[in-house]
Amino acid sequence: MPDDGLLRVIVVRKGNVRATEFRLRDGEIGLSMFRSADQPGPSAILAAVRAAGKQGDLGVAEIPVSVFRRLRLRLVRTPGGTPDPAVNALHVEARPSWPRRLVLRIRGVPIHEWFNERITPELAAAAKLVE
Amino acid sequence: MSTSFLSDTSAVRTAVGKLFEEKPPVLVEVRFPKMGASPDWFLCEDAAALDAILDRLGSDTEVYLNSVWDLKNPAGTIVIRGGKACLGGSLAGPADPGPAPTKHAEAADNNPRPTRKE
Repeated sequence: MPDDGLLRVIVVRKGNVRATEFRLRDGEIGLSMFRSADQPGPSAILAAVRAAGKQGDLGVAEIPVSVFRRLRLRLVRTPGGTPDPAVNALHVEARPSWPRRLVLRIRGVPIHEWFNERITPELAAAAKLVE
Repeated sequence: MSTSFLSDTSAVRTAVGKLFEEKPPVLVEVRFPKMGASPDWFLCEDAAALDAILDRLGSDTEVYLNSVWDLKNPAGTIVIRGGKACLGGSLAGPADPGPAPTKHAEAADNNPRPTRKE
């Protein structure tokens, strides 16, 4: 995967990117994102998420792929859930590696708790608004 | 925490109605699975307010309902999958038999049904 970036639709408040936009919920094993592409671009991704019912002053944040590599997250292509098939084809999940998941399981630590404590602040710090 | 499944729309409508009747207000979390976006949050005083939220949602969203009085021990979380298409009409009024199933509604029927965590 080229080192251009991964995109996530976020609610923008006062022009800021907040860490809460990059948290996992209980039961999730990876952060849902989209690969950056010319077509469909960030505008189409934002429109697809808005069409699903997401509300608020929405923007698109980009995080370089190198950040995910540094954090040892695996990028797994999975089908997206928006109403736009072209956008869904760009969907990926940033997941902890299998060794990391094994360690977390042995320690009894839920994936989302580890992710939100260790990964979320790094992603928020690296995110830049592009739309 | 165990999870029991509410197998039909009348069960989820009853559970939602009971939640608003007995323990308002209700905290509503709308999740957008595999859509690259964080959840939306709302505080609803009645079912009509929830109706307005469900009206705008696509069929692949998930809605989690909790009384604000149960946030520290969220027994009884109600989960609605598929937006309003799965509920057969308004939550605030009587059940609407609705038109014959459309392609959209059939797609929603293929999704797991509303669940209730206990």
